[in-house]
Amino acid sequence: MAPLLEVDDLHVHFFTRDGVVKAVDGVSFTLEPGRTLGMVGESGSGKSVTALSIMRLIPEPPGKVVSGDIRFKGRSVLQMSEKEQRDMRGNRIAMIFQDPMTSLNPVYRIGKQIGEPLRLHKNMTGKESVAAAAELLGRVGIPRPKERVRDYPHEFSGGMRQRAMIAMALACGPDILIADEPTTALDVTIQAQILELMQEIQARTESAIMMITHDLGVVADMADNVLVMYAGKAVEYGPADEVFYRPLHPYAWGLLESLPRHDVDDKGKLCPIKGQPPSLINLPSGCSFSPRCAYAQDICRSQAPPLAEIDPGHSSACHFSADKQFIAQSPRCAMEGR
Amino acid sequence: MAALLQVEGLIKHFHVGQGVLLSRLSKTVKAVEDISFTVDEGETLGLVGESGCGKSTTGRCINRLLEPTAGKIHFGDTDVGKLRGKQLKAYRRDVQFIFQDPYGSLNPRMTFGEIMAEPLVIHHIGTKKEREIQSREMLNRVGLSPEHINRYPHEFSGGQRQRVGIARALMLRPKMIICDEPVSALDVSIQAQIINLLEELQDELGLTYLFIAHDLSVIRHICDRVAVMYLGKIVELGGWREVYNSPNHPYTQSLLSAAPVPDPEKQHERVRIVLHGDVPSPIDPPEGCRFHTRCPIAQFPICETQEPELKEVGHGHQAACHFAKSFPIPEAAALTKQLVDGDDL
Amino acid sequence: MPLPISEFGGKGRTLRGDAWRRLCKNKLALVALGWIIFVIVIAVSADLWVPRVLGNPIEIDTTTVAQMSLNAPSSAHPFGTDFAGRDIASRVIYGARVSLMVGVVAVAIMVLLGLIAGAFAAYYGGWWDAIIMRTADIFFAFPYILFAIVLLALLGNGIQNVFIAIGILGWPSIARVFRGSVLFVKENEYVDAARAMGASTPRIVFRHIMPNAIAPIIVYATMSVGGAILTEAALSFLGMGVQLPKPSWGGMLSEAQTYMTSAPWLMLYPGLAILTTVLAFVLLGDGLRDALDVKMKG
Repeated sequence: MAPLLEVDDLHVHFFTRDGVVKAVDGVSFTLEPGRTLGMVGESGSGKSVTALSIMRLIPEPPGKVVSGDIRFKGRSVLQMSEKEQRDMRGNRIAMIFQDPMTSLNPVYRIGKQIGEPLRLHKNMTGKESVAAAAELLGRVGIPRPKERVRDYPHEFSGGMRQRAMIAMALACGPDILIADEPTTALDVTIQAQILELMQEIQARTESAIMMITHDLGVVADMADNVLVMYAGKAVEYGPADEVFYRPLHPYAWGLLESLPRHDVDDKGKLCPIKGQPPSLINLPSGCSFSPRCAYAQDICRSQAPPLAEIDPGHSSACHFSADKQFIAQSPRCAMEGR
Repeated sequence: MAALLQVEGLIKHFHVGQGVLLSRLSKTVKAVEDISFTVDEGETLGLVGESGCGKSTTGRCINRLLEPTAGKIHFGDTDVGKLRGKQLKAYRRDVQFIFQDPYGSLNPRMTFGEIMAEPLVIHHIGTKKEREIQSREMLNRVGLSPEHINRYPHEFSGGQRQRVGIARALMLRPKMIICDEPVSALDVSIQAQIINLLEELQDELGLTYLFIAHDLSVIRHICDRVAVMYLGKIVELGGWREVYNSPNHPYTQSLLSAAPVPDPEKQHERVRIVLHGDVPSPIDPPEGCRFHTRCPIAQFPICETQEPELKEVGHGHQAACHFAKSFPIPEAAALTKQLVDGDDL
Repeated sequence: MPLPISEFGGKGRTLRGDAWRRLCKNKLALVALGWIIFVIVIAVSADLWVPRVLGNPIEIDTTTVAQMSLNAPSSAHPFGTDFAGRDIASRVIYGARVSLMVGVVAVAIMVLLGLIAGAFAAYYGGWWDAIIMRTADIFFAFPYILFAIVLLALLGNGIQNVFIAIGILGWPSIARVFRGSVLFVKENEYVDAARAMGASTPRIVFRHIMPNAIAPIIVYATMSVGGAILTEAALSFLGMGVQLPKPSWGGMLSEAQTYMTSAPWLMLYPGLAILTTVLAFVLLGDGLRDALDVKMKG
């Protein structure tokens, strides 16, 4: 039985006047119903581009999927016709964007916008779609939905707009919900509400969620599996417990280490990763992380390590991940004593 | 330790008017409503809260980027509110500001050298040569190569630009720096670099920081004392250990429980207090305790009629709540959820 | 959906350098710029060679008038001659002087007035803003050409008055564009940063706001030169401003009406001159807008 979504060694490049931007340079993962994948990485890591590629929303010049495949329920998304892609978007795979202030069209009423996927994919009439929209608003926790469905976006707060976006994404009962930094622009208490809402919905509908974020706390809360991205590549992939407590890749170590501790009483210096993320036009030779890696050897600078499975279900793109002694020296392991 | 900064009863209102002719119809945003706190020399006081709580506004009132509507601000012996002209300019040498946006806070048409020399030029310090030497030294001190002195901001990353912003704030050798969300716009791995830099500089130069942020883990790490703000008021104030380990105000408790930690087991074990509804508008804040509309332990009628004062709940620890710690929150939250559901927002 | 390109790439040093390189890649804009430079060189150097090579643009040589009148273009007179036996190319070139002078001076006046008005309105806001912008609106309410004609009727003829008329009528557009630009730039944190350092208002305006707000004005001013040239042509066509027999493109078109079918070259060349020159300024302005636009995103 094919997985719900399978991304297979995806490479997406942008051909610009300044050079070729290798936005996604080797990403593989799968998604199953009812499970959440947390895609975590910093700016420029390629997580948004991966999500947009799945939805076929990357503008085709200057972008291009140069190799690899994306399969939805066994069928290649890249081979789909325009019509099949449109059928898929909003219907089988839906997306929530980061900025609730700009992702809703300010000149249309909320009900009309939420009802749009229903009119497009389920052939509902205008009236039916607005009624369905009211019901959806109620389901995402907006009080007095039958009245609020007639409001314009500017009458909704940020948190409510994000709920409206979630309602719109859920309208057709999609198999996959892709959420691109859905709570980054929201306050912490509102974020908690939205995350809880998403988990409730997932429990009810068994849809898969792809949660893209830079916030490791959100990933720890929501994700069953975690994909860590750096400079366009997947560098670590595995169950959340494994990645947080037994990470295999030095970038993951560095990321977890650089966070301010929430539990220790004596506050020492933070341990940042030295240097800057690389230019996606001039990637370093060999392993893209090697210039910043405290453990880099010659082989790291000449050969790019493939994403290889080290433990069952847990992969890492590092030459030394399979070496038990190397892993034992990781700062995370040393601190947790696991 | 002497109090370097004393703020008493600070109020800041904004008028969002309907143009010049109809200004009678304007509404007032009550951004900061009567707050008081002190900052000792050499310490870091954190101002933490969500959007609209007034923390940025407070910071800008202190260095007079915004004019306070009322209240007293004392820096050392000086009454900051009364400063004018030359004296105000001199005050600016002692109190500097670091901005949030590394992309917007540097003039794109000036080189790093010009940006950093500007404070010296404005205050007529040094000759051109001397300024250049100082600028190079400062670039070095914040971890950048002095050769970048003739380069432009757009050639550099956010983290590097923020370092220049910090360097610029140091050029006048200030006593205190107001840091307005200095790391919020940066990547996680760069945030740690900048936080370390700020701490090193504080140790080296004996700086005092007023650190404004919304990220609870950053505040916990860098601050000695913390003030939690909600809708223009300080709801809790104390040492970082007290506020984080035994928060007294229900808002502080909700805030701390809502912020996810990067630890799956801990995260799943936690009882999260989920507040209901949105933050009320500062144009029309709730009567009585401003938090009562979302508070899981609000008691009526007192919470909706009487505004609570900041009172001592521990050594150097204050909270503004009539019932701080009188009710355990998780059970109360579940109960009020049933009552609050279906209500107006 | 932002493409992940922003900081990774550009090797240029200054923003001006970046803009220049972008402009150079725009072939159309370069051709336009080339044409403008060509016209300027020819017009400025006219006194040195035109009367000798082509003929006097104004004087009528009564001895040769009869045979010289209305000659079709030939090697001696590349654009032909007009009814008074004068060389048309010579008149077109001297006409270019008029047009360019009007273009540059009128736009200079309107930019000066517009910058001051726009800066006051944007920086001080409130009553200043209201008064200045409503005055601009009043100007906008009047039909432009009619207003120009009335002004010239009041001021009298002559090229200086043309500058003044066009300049006075043009300030509201510049003011409006500049005001918008200043309001936008004012919101940037580097303006706050300058205040936080103790910078004086003049310093903030001239060092921080102006250089960053000026880009849209450069574009608008360039295109306005084209507009001013067109307006001058219309006015001189109507017999206002530069008077015949002094050569001006509009005046030449007016004279050429009678000979439209019999001697079309009288109309063709001044017409082409107007067309190509105005088009060149507009294309250059367009190119500048594209070259500067990325920067304007702050």
